[in-house]
Amino acid sequence: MPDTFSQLTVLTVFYAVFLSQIYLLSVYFPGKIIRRVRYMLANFPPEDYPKLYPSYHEGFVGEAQRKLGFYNGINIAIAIFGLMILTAMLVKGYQPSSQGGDEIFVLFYTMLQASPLIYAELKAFKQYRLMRAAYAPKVRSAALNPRRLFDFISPIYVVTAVALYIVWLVFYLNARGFDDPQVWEVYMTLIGITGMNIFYMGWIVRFMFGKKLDPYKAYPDQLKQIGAVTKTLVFSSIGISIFLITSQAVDQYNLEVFDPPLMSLYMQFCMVFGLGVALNMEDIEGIDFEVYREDASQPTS
Amino acid sequence: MEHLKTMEITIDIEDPAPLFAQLIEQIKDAVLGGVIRPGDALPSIRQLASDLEMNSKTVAKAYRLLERDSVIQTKGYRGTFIHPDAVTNSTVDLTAWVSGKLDETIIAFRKAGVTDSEIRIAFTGVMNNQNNKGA
Repeated sequence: MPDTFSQLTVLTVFYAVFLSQIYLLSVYFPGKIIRRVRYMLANFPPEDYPKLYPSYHEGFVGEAQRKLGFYNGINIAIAIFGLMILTAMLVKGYQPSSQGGDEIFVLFYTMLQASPLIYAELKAFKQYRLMRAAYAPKVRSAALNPRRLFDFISPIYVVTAVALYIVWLVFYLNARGFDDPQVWEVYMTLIGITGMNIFYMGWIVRFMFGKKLDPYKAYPDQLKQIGAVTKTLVFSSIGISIFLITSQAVDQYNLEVFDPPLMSLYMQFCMVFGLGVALNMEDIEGIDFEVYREDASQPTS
Repeated sequence: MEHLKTMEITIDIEDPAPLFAQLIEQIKDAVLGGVIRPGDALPSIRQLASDLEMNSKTVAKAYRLLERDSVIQTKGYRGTFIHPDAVTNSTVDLTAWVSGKLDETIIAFRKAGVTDSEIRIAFTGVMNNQNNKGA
């Protein structure tokens, strides 16, 4: 550990950042999602809004409430598990390795925290598929206006994302280069990060010009959703570039003791600027639920 | 983007008119009604096809015919726009014009004693020759 930072500073940063991760990923965001679903069930019940619940059956609401309770319980259990890990580390006098590598445990725990969310997302996609299968309008409408990227996000953010990717590329190649003994790792990193950014671009294009996931969604809500997805992915791209640049700098200046909190901060950044932006932009009270009524006319695409 | 809601197009899949014809008709109506003006941008073929849940070839056909009639114009990668002379050109109905011309010609043939089957054979022959020349 470099003399510049005392053990106390390193541990304080680590515990503070990890506690914040436990709260955000296992308490704050799951709570927000649960409140959102409960609000929908209470204010827009399946009897009045059947198109919103394509898998509706007898006892659906009770089953949904039980599943929400289970989802809440799982997240609380994961949070308690995280707190137990932290307590054990504190008791055993944990010291982050000066060689780095401890961040892998942060990554594993984050994956555990994200698994209920990923499960919920997969369920949501299944619902969208059922909605699409039941969707067969005779009259279809569309807005006669082009959708353009900068209608949904400021050019400043897009330019920042591209610039940071280039900065990382130059910095990384300068530090590692193609004459690195583990050149395959360099290639894998380059392919992985570039591929991820291309995937993000493809996903934005798919949301802007492809078919709507939820075919009943009103046009203004569709525009909000495109905006949320676009911002989420561009911010994620910015986040990963900052994380990679910082990680490279940490390795270069022998500050590997900060690898675990750095990884945790990055994961929190992704959640706040990913899920957080999406949930805030798609404010549930502003969504037009009338399109989900049985006798609702077909929404403008 | 609130103002975008006013510019809408509606397609009825049970209408006997072909989908591409409905699209053409509605875009021309929007031009004539001043809902869209010369220079306004139109959605891409892919966007409109996705929004209307129809085949992109149908939208492409409608756009191609509108471009032929100088109601819209494509400006490369910048997209598709309403033609500067779209208002005048939207009133021109090429189908009606073709029908009128054919009507006159067929009346003249019949007056000369040409039978219907001779007219059909000759028409098909001329069309085939034209297509072969084009190919």
